Amino acid sequence: MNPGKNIYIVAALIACSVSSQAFAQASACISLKSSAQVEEETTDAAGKKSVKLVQADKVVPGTVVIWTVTATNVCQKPSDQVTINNPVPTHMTYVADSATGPGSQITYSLDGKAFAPAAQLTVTENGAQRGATAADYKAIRWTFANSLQPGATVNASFRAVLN
Amino acid sequence: MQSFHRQLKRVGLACVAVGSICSSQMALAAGTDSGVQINNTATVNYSVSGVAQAAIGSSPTGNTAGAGSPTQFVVDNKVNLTLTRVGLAQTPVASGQTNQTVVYRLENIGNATQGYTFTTANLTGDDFDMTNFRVRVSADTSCALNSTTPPAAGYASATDTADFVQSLLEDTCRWVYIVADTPAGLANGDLSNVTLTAITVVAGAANAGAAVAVTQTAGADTAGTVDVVFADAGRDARETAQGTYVVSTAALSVQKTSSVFSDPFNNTTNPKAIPGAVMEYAIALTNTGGANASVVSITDAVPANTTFLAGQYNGNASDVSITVGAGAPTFCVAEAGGADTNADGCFRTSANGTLTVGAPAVASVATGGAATRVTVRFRVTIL
Repeated sequence: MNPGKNIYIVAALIACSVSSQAFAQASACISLKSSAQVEEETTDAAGKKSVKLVQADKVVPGTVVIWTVTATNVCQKPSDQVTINNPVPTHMTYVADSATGPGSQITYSLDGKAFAPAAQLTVTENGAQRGATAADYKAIRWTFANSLQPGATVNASFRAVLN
Repeated sequence: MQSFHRQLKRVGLACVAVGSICSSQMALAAGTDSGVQINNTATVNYSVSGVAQAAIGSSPTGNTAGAGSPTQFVVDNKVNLTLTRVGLAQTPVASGQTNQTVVYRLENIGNATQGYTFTTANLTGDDFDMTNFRVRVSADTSCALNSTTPPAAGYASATDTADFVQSLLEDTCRWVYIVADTPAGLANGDLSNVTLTAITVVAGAANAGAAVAVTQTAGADTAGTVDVVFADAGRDARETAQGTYVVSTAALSVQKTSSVFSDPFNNTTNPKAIPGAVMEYAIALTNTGGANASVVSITDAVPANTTFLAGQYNGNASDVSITVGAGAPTFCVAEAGGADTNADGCFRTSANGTLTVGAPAVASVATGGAATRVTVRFRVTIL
């Protein structure tokens, strides 16, 4: 037996119990918020048109909904390897090239499990392979390269149309 | 069985092609049902100081632990309809005819069940106005979206009695008739333009009078409730489509001509109308109207001082020749006994009596002028 190795294992166990304790106390490091909005065009007194985002209440088939996920670091330590996953909601279809997330790499999934850049996704159809289209995407993943500092916020958003 | 499986497979593959749109279309072509709740939850994975943390689900206000709660909204009521005239572009009518119809197809292409009421109007700037307007919804519910083939049986007053649509599911349609009467004394070709307007009402009304028009939710709407959005052309939850009635009657003219066929001295070369000469009478019926004329009978008394000549046509086998337009002649035998014993349509009241020609020898005079002119010929001898 190598005494040094033993100590290492104990240390790891302690670290693990600390983190699970923290979770039990509901004081995780990230607050995650999701919102659904639609664009509303308004015309001001001067006749100038402007588009603003309003809460998605009036939604009928064909309406494009903008889903925005906001992650805020609410603890004292930076959060690393921040990855946000968002399934394309049931009854909705992802709008091509609509996912944005400053500072993140965006990948997509056709089954909600395996994620890959858009160009690498293929669908097998009638025995032939073709590139996946926006309508095939079932989930979107934003992988942030930089740590999320205490108090900082990152946004991830995408558009989906109601079927 | 095997081919059935293959078909199923093909359907499945076709669905992959259009992705998630397909799955919803299989349920509903007009889109997600009104009232359906759309949920969405994002999750975040991260680590702190090199230690992976438990995933956190999102909530509408911001969640810091556990699965979170979905951000949601309710699909609103998209009111959309189409009204299309189908069948003949112009309904042919005759003066004085009642219960003449123009057929329309009403489609609910929104995402909720709706009811409909109707109004009709006579347009100005045409030749006449139809009267006694009624709207009747066909009891035949076999209507398919985009179909341009209304029920072959047409309007049936006994069964097609509803004057409104109580409830019509999304992605379904109904045949609707304008039923109207034609005034008397109209000229061939006169036009009457009419319109039918379908108005979306709240489904389930007991009768047209009790129907309540669907109103659009004004301004910003309330979360969690189903609001109404008009998505039809004009965004007024109503559609109007025109129809046309055209007066189409037979316009028959009758012309009788005579010519000398032969005389006993010149025979058929430049014959003269002398006693003993054979005369040929031609009765021409021309229809320049818009509808075919049914012929009841053509009667012609053999003129005084002449005698009917039997066996002049068809190798001396027939008494009367009938041609239609430039076609080859047909023939009939005009029995002299006052009865059409061989049922070919021709007879004489007596040997030298009145000639009658009717169906089947001449059953109708089709519209088309000279091209369809019916000419009946017979011969007599000058006494």
